[in-house]
This record gives sequence, structure tokens and C-alpha cells, in this order.
Amino acid sequence: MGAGAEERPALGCLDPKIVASLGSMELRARAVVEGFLLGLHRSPWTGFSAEFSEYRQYMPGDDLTTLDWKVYGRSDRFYVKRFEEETNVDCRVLLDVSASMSYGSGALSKLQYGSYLAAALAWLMNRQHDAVGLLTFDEWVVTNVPVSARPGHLRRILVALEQIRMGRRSNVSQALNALAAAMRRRGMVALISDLLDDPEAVVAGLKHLKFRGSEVIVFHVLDPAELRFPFERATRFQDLETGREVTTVAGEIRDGYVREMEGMTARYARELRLAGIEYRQVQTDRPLDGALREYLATRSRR
Amino acid sequence: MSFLFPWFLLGALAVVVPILLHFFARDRAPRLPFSDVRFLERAFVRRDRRRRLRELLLLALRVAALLLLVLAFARPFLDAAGQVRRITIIAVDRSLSLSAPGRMALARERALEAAAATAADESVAVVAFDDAAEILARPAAGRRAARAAIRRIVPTAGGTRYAAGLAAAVELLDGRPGRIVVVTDLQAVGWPEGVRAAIPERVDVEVVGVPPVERNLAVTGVEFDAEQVTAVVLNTGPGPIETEATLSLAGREVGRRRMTLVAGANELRWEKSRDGAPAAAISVADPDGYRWDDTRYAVLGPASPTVVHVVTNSGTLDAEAFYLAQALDVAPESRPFELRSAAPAELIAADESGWRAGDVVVVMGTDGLSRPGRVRIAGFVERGGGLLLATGGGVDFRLVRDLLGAAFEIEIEAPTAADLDSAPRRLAVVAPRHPVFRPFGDRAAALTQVRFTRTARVDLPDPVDATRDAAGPPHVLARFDHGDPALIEYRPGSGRALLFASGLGMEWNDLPRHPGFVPFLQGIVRYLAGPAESPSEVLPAGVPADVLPVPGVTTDPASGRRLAVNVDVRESDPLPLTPEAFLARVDSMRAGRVGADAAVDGTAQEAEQSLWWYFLLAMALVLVGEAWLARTMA
Repeated sequence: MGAGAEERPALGCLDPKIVASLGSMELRARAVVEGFLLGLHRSPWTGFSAEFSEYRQYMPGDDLTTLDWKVYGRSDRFYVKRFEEETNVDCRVLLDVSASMSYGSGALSKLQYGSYLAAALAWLMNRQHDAVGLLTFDEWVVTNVPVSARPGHLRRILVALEQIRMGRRSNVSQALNALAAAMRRRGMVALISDLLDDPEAVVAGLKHLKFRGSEVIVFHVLDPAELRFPFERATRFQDLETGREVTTVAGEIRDGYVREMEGMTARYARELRLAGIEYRQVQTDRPLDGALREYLATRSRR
Repeated sequence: MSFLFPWFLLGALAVVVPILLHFFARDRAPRLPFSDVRFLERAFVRRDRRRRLRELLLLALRVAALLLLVLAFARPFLDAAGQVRRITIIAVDRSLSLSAPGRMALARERALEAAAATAADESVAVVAFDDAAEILARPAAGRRAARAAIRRIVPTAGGTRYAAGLAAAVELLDGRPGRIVVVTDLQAVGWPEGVRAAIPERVDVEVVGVPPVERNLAVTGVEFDAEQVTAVVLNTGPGPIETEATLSLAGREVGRRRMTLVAGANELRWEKSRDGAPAAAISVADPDGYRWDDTRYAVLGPASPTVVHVVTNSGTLDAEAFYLAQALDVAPESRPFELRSAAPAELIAADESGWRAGDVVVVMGTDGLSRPGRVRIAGFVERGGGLLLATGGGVDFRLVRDLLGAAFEIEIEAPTAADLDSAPRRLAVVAPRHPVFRPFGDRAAALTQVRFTRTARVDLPDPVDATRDAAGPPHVLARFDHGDPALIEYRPGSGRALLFASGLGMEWNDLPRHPGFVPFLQGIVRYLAGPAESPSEVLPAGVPADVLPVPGVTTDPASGRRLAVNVDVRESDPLPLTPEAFLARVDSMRAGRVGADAAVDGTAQEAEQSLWWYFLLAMALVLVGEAWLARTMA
């Protein structure tokens, strides 16, 4: 679950609270990604693909095929050519906007955190010249921004993220199956959801995507209060999706609740790992870099 | 259960407060939106069920504590009327009339039937009565004890007093509703003229009759002359009957005769000398009649005398006490006096055990009477003895208070020269119905003929404080014609004392010459002898302590006198009442009176039981349990 990454001190621009204080989704996405890249101390975009990026003075050990002989002819110095990687991977960000995602015990709700994460991922994908698409859903698809690598497409995604509203009940598997049926090209799917649905159906939907050849990464967004259940007194808990109420003394059922929640997350982690799907639990009070790091690791494998 | 202050029970309405709080507090739990309550429900269901049970238990404990507090304030008590809805008191007649063959067994059988006929939820108590009533089984003792008590009832020689039996039954009912079943032969004599019984309104009285005997023979009177015995024999039957009469002297049969008794009273004469026998008995054979009235006993010859200790300065009866001795010596043979003389100085070493209750001490001289002697005389009177203090020339007036006891506040002065010179004084009886003057009948005024030339001046405290001593203040029975007290009575302790403000000789008055001297002195001495100076024949109900109430000749261990114990002749008449006539003597008391009595009884029961303490203790325990449970739930 990437515990090591989560325990690392948050960088200023990755702190969810600071990100939330920024004015627009674009600014948030840029701040997250740039901050994340500064932390990495290297450029992830150099590769062996097609588009020229820069010249660099030759150093022993460099690949001689990258020497630019024309520059040598004009300046009598050896320079090697650097190329930015080009890709044709279709990346889709799936964001759960069901009512349960609106829960938040701290500064951010899961939906806010998920939208920031989605924006950052889109920004990162765009900078990597991947085609990016956005799909928000509750029990049905709410917003669908098709996959595209055209200039200005990122802005469209960010605007869509800016405008998301809390939906109704969640049906993750239904959205996943719909997406799997609609996908024409293999690509990469990043699911951002609290997965508060039938685990069996959710896993089946994710497997469906995987079966269609997509690389799938799941960001399981949870509020720390959902994990630790810090309540004590008698409380009427009202389900955000169904409106159903349960009155209980929270302190008395904490142990049972935490066991149930841990059982659910452990089940997702186990079953998704067996299916070859990346699973990462993210908490809304933790920095966003862990999620981005997970994405890059998955992206590099492709 | 009843309550002394039932209006406190209104406080029980306060139980709605914790109940409402219980349910309102649940609804006031803050609402908190949460992402998904499925996991809450899974974790919550089992714990919540247990918690709900605990909460209900907590609520029950709080309500219980409140109710216990309310009950404690209402001062509960276990009212017997609340415990037992109804009580049946079976009052069984055990008087002489039930001693006829088979009658008591029949009465017991009727009583057992009455006990068996009571409802299952009724309590049964048993009272037996004759002249007085005896509680044999209380309601709480149970039916088995009641039946056993009935089987133990045996007839006595006592009379019949229905009022006594009913009063004991009412006492047992103690204000509760119930029923009194009187098992009796309905003898009419059980309701003396003017006697009625008062029964609470909620109490029913039923009469279960036992058939009376058809005929009873009884010896109702015996007189002895020097040479013959006369007896009265009653035949209550409708016609004559032949029977056999027996005369016994000193327990030995000396004569037997067959005779025919007509209906009613029959006189039986027997020419027979008593031959110095101390007691006699005359019997008639009456196998079908009452048991103890077939024989009548009599004490013959000189009865035990009343002992009079005369204290004179000379220590003899021949000088100062001459006239006293002569006056007491002429007492009738049946009620003689025995005089014993003593000098004042001898009283120091006198054996006090020789002075018994019923004896009389006459003090005519005090020369040499030491303080221990005076205290001894005063103590004798305190313990029930009689004292006559004659203030003649031989008495030192300064010692009178010591002799009469410290509480006797009186000042006595010796006659002055002026008294001697004045005209003789006369005696005026101010309490002619006092027992002292009983021998005079209506002629006590005859004592006014006595001339008193010397009298002591007695000053009684004025006003007399009657509450100073339980025995009451001195009071005057006779005065001299100039107003000074002449004969004063005072009762220190259980004894009697009389102060005569003149002498018993010829020096101070001419009383010994007067015809009234002998009855006056005998009356005084017999009165001072007190209750112990009793007649030689008593009823079973009036026997002294330590004497069995069984007909016969016996000796009173206290006085040493012989006593003839005979049944009440009225009891020998089996004339029955009808049940209606019986019930006509029973008055039903007003309900208000019963209610008031019940309230008083309730206060007493509550004070005796003090159940409110237990309720408070229970409330404390409940609160401890509530605190513990609440702590475990916190």
C-alpha cells in the first residue's frame, strides 16, 4: 500500500491543504506535478522516442549515434542530440463522484482530493504527451471527456474537474464495464474511487478492463476517519448515498468497524494484486506524491 | 400492604421522567453524515442489541430506585387486613355449663366444623371463654394450630361471660373485617342485666348452639348451725327426680340419704354436729348435670384470725390497750382477731417476717421507738400492711411523719391548755359510706355522741397536691365539730394507714364507753387488714393468686386462710337464650370509629415495622447497581 511513500514528509506543494488553497484546478495540477518533479531531481521524460528536445556536450560513454555531425561541422565540437519521448498511449482517468465521495472529516473531502489527484495525473500524462481522457461516474457515467492529445485538451479536462458535483449512489462496476465495452484501443486506466461498492463486482469490472489489455491502476481514496473511526459518543450516522441512519455509540463499535474496513481494503489489495492490477490506498490527509509515484512506476512498465 | 402517607405515592408519576429522558436522549444523538453505514451496521447489530438490553436494565433500575424512594416516603406497613382478607374467630364457651357429659366434646366438634367451613383464604383464630377469655390460637398461627387449640379446650368451673369472649375476638380482629363464631350452649346467664357487646361494623357474629342439658342438680347454699346442716338443692328439670345426697366433714363422708327433689329449690336439713371439723361438703348425685355444682363446700369453725400487733409503751395489752383488746375480742367466731402486743423498743429486733400482708399494726405508744423501728413500720405499710396510729398520750407527735412515711405531709400538735379548758368536742363523720363505717350501716351518726376532751391538732397541707404521690393525698373521713380532722386516711404504697387524732382509752375521750366503740374499732381494723381480710368462700374467678380456680377447700398461701371455692350458683341454671336474643345484645359500632381505630393501628404498625428503612436500603442497592452498570456502559 505504499506505506513508505506515505510516511515521507509532505513537500509544500503536495500537501492537500495547500493544494486546495490554490485558485484553479490548472494551478493545482501544475503545482502538484512540478512539486513532485522537483522532488524527483531528474527528468522522467527523456527517452528513446522521436521528438528533439535539446543538445548536450558529448561526454565519454554517450551513444555515438546521437552525435549531431552537423553541429560538429559548424562548431568543431561534439554535441549529442536529446529527444523527448513520444507516446501513443491512451490514458483515462476515472473519477468516482458518487455521494459517498463527498465525505470528509478534515479539510478535504474525498471528492476534492480525488479531483486534485485526477488533475495532477492528467497534467502529468499530458506533459508526457499521452492522450488523456476523463470519465466521472456515480451509478452511471456523469462526465466523459474523450481521450485526446491535442493542445488545449488538458484545459478541457481541468475545467471538467473544476465543475464536478456530487453525484448519487455509486456503481463502480457498472461504470467499469461500460468503459471496457467502449474502449477501442488498449491504454491505461487510473480509477480514483472510495470503492464503497460490492467488492466482488468492482473487482470483476477491473478484471474486465485488464482483460481488454489496459493497464489499470486503482487509487483507493479513503478519509482517515473512515479508517480509524475516531468517534466516541452516541451518534446518528447517516449514509450519504442512501440516507439510511444508524444510531449507535461509536466508541463501542469502533473495533468491529475497523475490522470490517480493514477486511475490505485487504480484500481489494489481495484480489487486485492477483489480477495484476495496481492498487494503492490513498488517504485524504496525505500528500499526493505517493499516488503520482505509483502512476509513474506503472507507466514506466508500459 | 398499606401506607401511612398514601398521597406520597403520587410521586410515582415521576417515573415518566427517566423513561422520557431515556427515549428522548436516544433521539437527540447528533446526526453525522457518513460515507457508508454498512460496516457500522455489521459491527453494530450484536453490540447494540446487548447495549439496548443494558439500557433497558439501566432504565428499569432508575425507575425502581425512584419507586422505592416514593414507597419509602409513603411509609408502608403490612396491614394484617391487607395480608388476610378475612379472619374467622371461633369463640368457644368453656364455662361450667359445658362440663355436662358430652357437651364439651359437642362444642369442640361444632367449633372444628366452623373452622373447616371457612374459605381457603381466611385465617382462623380460637378464643375460649368463661368468666374471662383466653386467646388459644392467633390468626397467624395457621389452621392446624387452630384445630389443635380447639381440641385442647376443656370445661372449667367458671361462669359464662359472652362479652369477655366477644371482646377478645374483637381485639384479635384488630380493626380488620371478619367473622366471630360463638360456640356455646346459649346459657342466658352469660348476658347479665345491662351488659352488651360492641362489635365493629365489618364484623359478623354467628352463634353455633350446643344443646343445653335437660336437667341439672346443684347445691346452691349451705348453712351450719351448732347441731344441724341446711342445704339448698336446685332441680332445674321440669319435674321431680330422685337422687342421693352426701354430707362430708373434713373430707370424710358422715352421712348419705336418698331424697326426691321437686322442680326448683329444695331444702335439705341434716341433723349433724360439725364435731370440730374445719370444712364440710354436701353433694348430690347428678350424673347428667354440670360437674362442679353438685357439691358445695364450706369452711367451718374459727377461720384464720386477723392478726393485730398492738404497740404500747408498756408492751402489754392490759394497760393502754385494755379497751382495744376488749373490743376486738368480741369478734364473731367466723372472723376472729388475734392480738399480739409489743413494746416500741422491741420493734428494733422484731422479726419483720412475722408481719404479713393482712396484719394490722396499732401504735398506741412510741417510747423508745428507734428510727429503725419507725422505718420498719413505715415499710410494713408500704408493702401492704395496715396501720392505725392513735394519737393518745403515749405517742410522741414528732415521730408521726416517720411512722406514716416521708410523703405524709402533716403537722400534729399536742393539745394545749386551752384545748383542755374548752368544751368537749363531738365527732362528725364526713364519709359515712367509707368501709370503716360499714358496721354502722346508716347509723354512723351515732358516733356524734362521743365526747372528746383531748384531741391532737392535725394540719393537712392546703391545698393537697393530689399528683405528688401515686397513692394519693391524705383525706379526712371524720372531723371534730370545730373542724379539725379526727380520722384521716392515707395510703402509702400498697398499704393503708389511719390516723386517729385522739386516744383509744378513757383519758382523751369516752369512746370506750360508747356503744359504737366496738363496731368502730372492728371496722377500722378490718378495713386496714385490706383485701386479705377476705371472706372464706370465693368463686373460681375470684380466687387469690397461687390458688387453683377449682371448687373445693383450699388454703391461701399468702394469708394462710382456709378458703371454700364454690361455683357461681347462677351458672347452675341451664336456661338458654335463642340465637336472636343473643345477637340482640351485640351492637355494631360505627364505621367511622373503626376507621379511626384502624388509622391509629396503622401508625402503630408502621412504627413497629419500620419498613421504610428496607425500602431505602433497597433503593441504595439499586443505585449502586445502576452506577456499576452505567460505568460499564460508559
